Amino acid sequence: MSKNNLKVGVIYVLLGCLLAVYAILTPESKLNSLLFGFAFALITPGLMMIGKFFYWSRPENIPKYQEKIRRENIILHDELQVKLRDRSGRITFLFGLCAISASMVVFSILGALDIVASSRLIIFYLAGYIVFQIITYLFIYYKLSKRY
Amino acid sequence: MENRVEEFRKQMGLKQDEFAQAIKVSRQTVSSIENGKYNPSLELAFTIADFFDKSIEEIFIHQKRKEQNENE
Repeated sequence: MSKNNLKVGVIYVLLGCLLAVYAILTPESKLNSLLFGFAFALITPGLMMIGKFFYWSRPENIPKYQEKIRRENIILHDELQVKLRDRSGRITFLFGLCAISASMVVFSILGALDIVASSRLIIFYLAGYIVFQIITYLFIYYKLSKRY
Repeated sequence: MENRVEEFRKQMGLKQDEFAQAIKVSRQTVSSIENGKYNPSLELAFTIADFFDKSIEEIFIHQKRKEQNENE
């Protein structure tokens, strides 16, 4: 296994520890819980990377690791898998658009019934997001179609 | 599109997994091609043809051409 994985793991853990120490030293900060969240979000994958590095670097595990990498490479470039990923991405995108549109209707109703305060802000945010999604989709489609 | 991938693979005494490994695709892809659920790209079709040392036409049978030949 590449030593880069070990280096990245160590950097993650160090950054996580720095954030955790900063959060401990500033208990009155409003961002404390967020800092702890970030700290553990860095420390956990960092420790996993370090653990994986030492596990896969054992001489008896090297052939298994090479086989694992070979299989992962096949799956990554396998044309049926690529096609399935593309289709599932497109379907997810369409479902996402439907979910955002439905959410806008729901928040409009909740706002009109005074159940949710500042529903207008949420609706504007969702409308902005849906416009962003569509513009990004069209832009990427245009850029990709220019290649062919 | 019909194909004779399974037939040629079995002639060579290969399992799906071994064949998939040889042409660098997943076993699922081999299975889908053999069942006619997935038509491979031209590139993969050439790889398969080269592996069996056959021409693409010998392995992949286009339905329309097959019907034309039957009518003649």
